[in-house]
Amino acid sequence: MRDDLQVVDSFKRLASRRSRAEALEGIVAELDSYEQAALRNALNAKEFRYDIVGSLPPEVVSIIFKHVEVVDFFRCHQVSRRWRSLLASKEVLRQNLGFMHWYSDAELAQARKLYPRDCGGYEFLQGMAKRMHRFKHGNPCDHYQLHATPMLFFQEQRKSSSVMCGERIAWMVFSDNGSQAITVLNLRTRECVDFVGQAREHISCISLAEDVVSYVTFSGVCYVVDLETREKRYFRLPSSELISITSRHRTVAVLRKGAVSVWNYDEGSCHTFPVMEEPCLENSGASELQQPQDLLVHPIKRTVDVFCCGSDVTGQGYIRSARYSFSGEKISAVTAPLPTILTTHPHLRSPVWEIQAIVPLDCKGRFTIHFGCKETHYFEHGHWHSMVFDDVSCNFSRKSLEIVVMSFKYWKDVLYPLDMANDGFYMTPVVVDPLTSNIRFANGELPCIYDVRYDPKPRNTITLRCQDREEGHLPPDDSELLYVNDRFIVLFRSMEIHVWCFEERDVPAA
Amino acid sequence: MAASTPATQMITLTTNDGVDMTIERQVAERSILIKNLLEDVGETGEAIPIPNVSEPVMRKVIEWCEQHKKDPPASNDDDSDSRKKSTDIDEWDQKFMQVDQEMLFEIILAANYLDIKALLDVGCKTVANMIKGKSPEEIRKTFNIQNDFTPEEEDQIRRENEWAEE
Repeated sequence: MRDDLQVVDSFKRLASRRSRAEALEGIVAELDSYEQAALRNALNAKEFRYDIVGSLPPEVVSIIFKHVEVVDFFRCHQVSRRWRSLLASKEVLRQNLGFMHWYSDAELAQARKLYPRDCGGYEFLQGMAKRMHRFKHGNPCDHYQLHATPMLFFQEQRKSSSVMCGERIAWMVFSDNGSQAITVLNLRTRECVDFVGQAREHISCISLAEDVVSYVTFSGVCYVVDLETREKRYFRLPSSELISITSRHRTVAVLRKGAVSVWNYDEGSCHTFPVMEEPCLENSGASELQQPQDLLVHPIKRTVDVFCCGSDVTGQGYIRSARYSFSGEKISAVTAPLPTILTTHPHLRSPVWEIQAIVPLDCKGRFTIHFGCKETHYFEHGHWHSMVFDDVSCNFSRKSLEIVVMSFKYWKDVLYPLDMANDGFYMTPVVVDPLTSNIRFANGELPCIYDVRYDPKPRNTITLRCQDREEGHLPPDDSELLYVNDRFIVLFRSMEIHVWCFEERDVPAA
Repeated sequence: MAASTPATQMITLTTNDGVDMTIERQVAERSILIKNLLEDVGETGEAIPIPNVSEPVMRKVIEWCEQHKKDPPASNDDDSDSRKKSTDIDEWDQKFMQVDQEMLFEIILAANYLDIKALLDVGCKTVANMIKGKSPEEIRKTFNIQNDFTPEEEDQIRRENEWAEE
């Protein structure tokens, strides 16, 4: 080894501060005036700038990058070899990519399937970060359009006639005399599959979960199809008025007047138990019983939550959830007041409340419950009334979600970190009239969608436009529906479906 | 077990350069390491050696602990629920962190070693603020880092991360 390198090397090997200080002192004593000047210059040039990040242990670096945006994080890979290897280390990656927390393990496993060659998970994480970045900046990597069978939506059927879950969207296909088939579109593969009942019975409602699609016929049969194998199974419902259907993973629950039926695709057996009409106000003298309106199923805890709404004489609304086990045993019940916004309505004494939809909000088991009041239209002051139900703690909480469009269905809290700067936890999609920039509703009931416009950050508004709209070929369509999740934005129109993709892997190779 | 402790019990720390520092126990206990040590060892009155921290750094750390001695203890729940990318630092801490980069580095290391979560966080946020919104070249300048990629490598990494450039 060369002598000069050896000196540096021995210096490096000095462990204690004191011996290093002494060695330095010794070296400085050896310097002649030129060398002293050179040393001074070298020190000045260094200006005590220091590769802090490169010198810290990964667990500390991970804390630093917890406070850095994902975009900055990936940009930092270009700084130096040391930074690159640090940032690609698992400790740092996992900590930094906060979006990991938005997904359940099952969803992550599902998403990982898109990256088959990626052992370390790095490519996968980068892919996720990329997707979120695209979504945030309204920069989809693809837009396609499918011409679909005319979907004649009847106003009253809109609520339940189509549903999106993950990479799939399913809807009831209407003809002049109702619906006899459903279509499931895989937004990634762009594959459309139709399903019918055994005797092409008329279908009354539909539910889509991660693994199965289910639909109930007017004759009281519930068909459940495994989305992977496409194998169709069914169970028969005792005849009484159908109120709602819900599904999660591979379990379907159906609420009929007075009873709930739970059925698991693999187990095949149907549990049916009676549900009572619930008092919404237990402690008030005049406790009117309310009919259950909607439900949620928890296949792992094996519970069903049944919801109802009611109001007292002043018009104050309440929402109540009763939790049952699959064997029909009532476990608990919780009541919460509804937002008072409609209570002050001058023409209403005691409005009749109804649940419109229960929509998953995140992977932690929270759901948004949209509800309205029968006597008024559902929009007032631009607010769509909603509450959040946490099925882990079995509790209600208020969130002033300014969801102005009935047709928006939120899926997962993947949407909410987008508005973090604003102390919000959700993104506010806004549908506006391009001429007036006003939120616009058709007849105060259903909105006309002119532009699909979403606003991840104040003053950073992105507008997605349909091609034909820009060219002015088609008039605004009042049967439009819009669905959003972090991978896709889907616009349903009466004759076609527009899909915007944000995940590169979801775009088939040309 | 230590009996009911008087309001201002003093303890002595010995830094790695052999300096003894006597401080309030309450202040020292901002450090979980020292707190646990005191609980395990009990009251011996002997100086506690802090082998990884030098006197100037320890002075800074103690200054911070003095200021924050009344803060509620750090909660254990990892802030996984409110994962805000907030880099807001309160004014006092911001001033406190106006030190040269070597000191900043030493404070972060000391906070990590002494297990003072809030101080570690402030230090890391300070560094994060030096990174946010900067180009790779600006970051290199900030931290005096040599670009050790070959032009080809650099090109490739840039292409990989093009999406991050808006």
